[in-house]
Amino acid sequence: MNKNKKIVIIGAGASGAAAAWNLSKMSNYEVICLEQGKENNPKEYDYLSDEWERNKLYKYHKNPNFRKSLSDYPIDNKNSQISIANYNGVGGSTIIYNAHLPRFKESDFKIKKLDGVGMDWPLNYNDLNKYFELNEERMGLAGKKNDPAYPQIKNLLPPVKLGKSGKLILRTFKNLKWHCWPSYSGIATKKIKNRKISSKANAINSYLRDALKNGIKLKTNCRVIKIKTNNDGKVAGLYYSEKGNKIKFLEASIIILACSGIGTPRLLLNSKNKKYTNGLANTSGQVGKNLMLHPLGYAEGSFEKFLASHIGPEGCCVYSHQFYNSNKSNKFKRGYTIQVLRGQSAVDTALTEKKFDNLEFGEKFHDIFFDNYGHTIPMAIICEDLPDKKNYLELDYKKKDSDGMPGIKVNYSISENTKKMLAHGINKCRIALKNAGANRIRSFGPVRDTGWHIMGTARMGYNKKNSVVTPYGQSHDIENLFIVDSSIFVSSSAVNPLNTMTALSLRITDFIKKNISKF
Amino acid sequence: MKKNNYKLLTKLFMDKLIPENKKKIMPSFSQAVNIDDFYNIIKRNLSKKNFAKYLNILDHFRLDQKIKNYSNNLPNPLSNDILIEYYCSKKVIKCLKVISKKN
Repeated sequence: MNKNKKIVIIGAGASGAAAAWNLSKMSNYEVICLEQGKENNPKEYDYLSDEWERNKLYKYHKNPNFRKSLSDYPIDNKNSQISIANYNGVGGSTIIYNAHLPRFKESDFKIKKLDGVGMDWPLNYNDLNKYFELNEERMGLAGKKNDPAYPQIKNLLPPVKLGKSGKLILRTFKNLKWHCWPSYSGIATKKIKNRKISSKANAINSYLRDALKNGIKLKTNCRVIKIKTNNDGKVAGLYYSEKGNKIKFLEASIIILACSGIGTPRLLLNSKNKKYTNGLANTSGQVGKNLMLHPLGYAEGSFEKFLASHIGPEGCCVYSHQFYNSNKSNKFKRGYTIQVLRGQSAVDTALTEKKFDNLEFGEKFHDIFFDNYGHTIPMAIICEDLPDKKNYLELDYKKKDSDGMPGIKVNYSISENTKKMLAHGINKCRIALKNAGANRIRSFGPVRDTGWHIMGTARMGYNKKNSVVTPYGQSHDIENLFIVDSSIFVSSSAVNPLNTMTALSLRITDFIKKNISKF
Repeated sequence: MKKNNYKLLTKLFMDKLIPENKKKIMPSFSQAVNIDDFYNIIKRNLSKKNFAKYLNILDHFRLDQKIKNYSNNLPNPLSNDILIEYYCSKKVIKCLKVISKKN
């Protein structure tokens, strides 16, 4: 046993936790996971608790520039139509997400071949299938079998309860002859290991807890500032700051980046040195480029009848892939998901109605509130974003984090293709809501604070001239440097990337295990 | 005016903005939220300019209690704090659970 050899994983979000768990079964390597944030009390982010309503607006706010906790870094969104949303801490964004767990579809891996746009992935759906299954088993996937959009998915927990609003939309879509199915959700609809009923799957309860039992070390409040390479051009270790104290050096045989589509390019670019003057793993010049964010449209119908639509997991109701693929009659390529959400919570209902000047203080206050609370059905239009080198991230030397590391500047604009797609999606949602009987419909897009799905900024490929990592997440330039987060995505699909990202992380770490003697 | 008087006026003002509802199912603002805590929260959260604007509203409210004259002029951050504190209070959350079950 050679415990002097260390595998260091940077980031304890979904991809880092899955990597840690998969590598934790290796007895002859020490696996260390460094996380810039802290470990929080699960009661604070339990969406079923009464405290969540307040916590999501402050301590667990989705906008890091609002939270401004020590683990957050400055993100300049001025040059972007969409603001970045995330959570920096143990569990990453999975502790505050909506628990959507759909897979990418077969067509998502070959958009160039099918539609002449973007770039094809250097792997296909079948390469990931067994990892999808493994991830879904670990996270617990609720859904309904025989979905024509996903005929392959078999092992499912019972679907989340749709409620009156979900059933109404399901009927409406059926009448319109549009696809509609219960959402694939990381919700424990029956008792499973480490989880209470109705709880959300996250990186901690699905992977990290077991990885820790298997002996990995988790070091929290440790921000990695820079990765060091040796004379051979391989990574030798990294410099990190623990709780803002003196910078320390940690030697590593293998480094695995799992810092998200924004954190990973930030660290690679900040690790530039004499040999790698454009940043690590960046011979191709693609680090930070091709940023994809899933522009989101929103439509909301208000119904006279009380639908109790606010009851149930916020984002998990039903979805439609009716407009997912390219269609010759459309003026845009690729397509979108319609994700039917739950009605807003009480505080969100009040804030929204106030924003639209529809909530009057005084005698009518409660009447107006109750006309809306539980009466609305919101729909999100999740658009496939295409890779474009004009959309990129760069280091922001003017704004630094609490350890003096540069922040990030986001340069992103929505393409003409996406604008047409958004307009199409909003129009279709309005048709659906009208058919469902809505007496008032609001719609807008793109929604600004929705940059959760950060993809493409260190993409994979066979060709080292136009990609950063191989199909196994291994840097083309540096053989003992790997990336397992969504920065390696080649295209974005139109679904939540979590399931696919975690499946990729499991696949890449299987590759590392099989080839460990080479590094 | 003294701080304590502003706190007292805050209670009166907030209960005009959010009164108990007719069926007495939903509490008034001060029945749901501790006014001392709320006053301190807005003092901390609001900018100096907005807090001064709020105190000015209270001064006018002392003389004229017609709520319609003020409710549209509240600074946005204050309106948001009022709604957040009210709907995130334990009492209101409990009431809404009961209402949702009944319906």
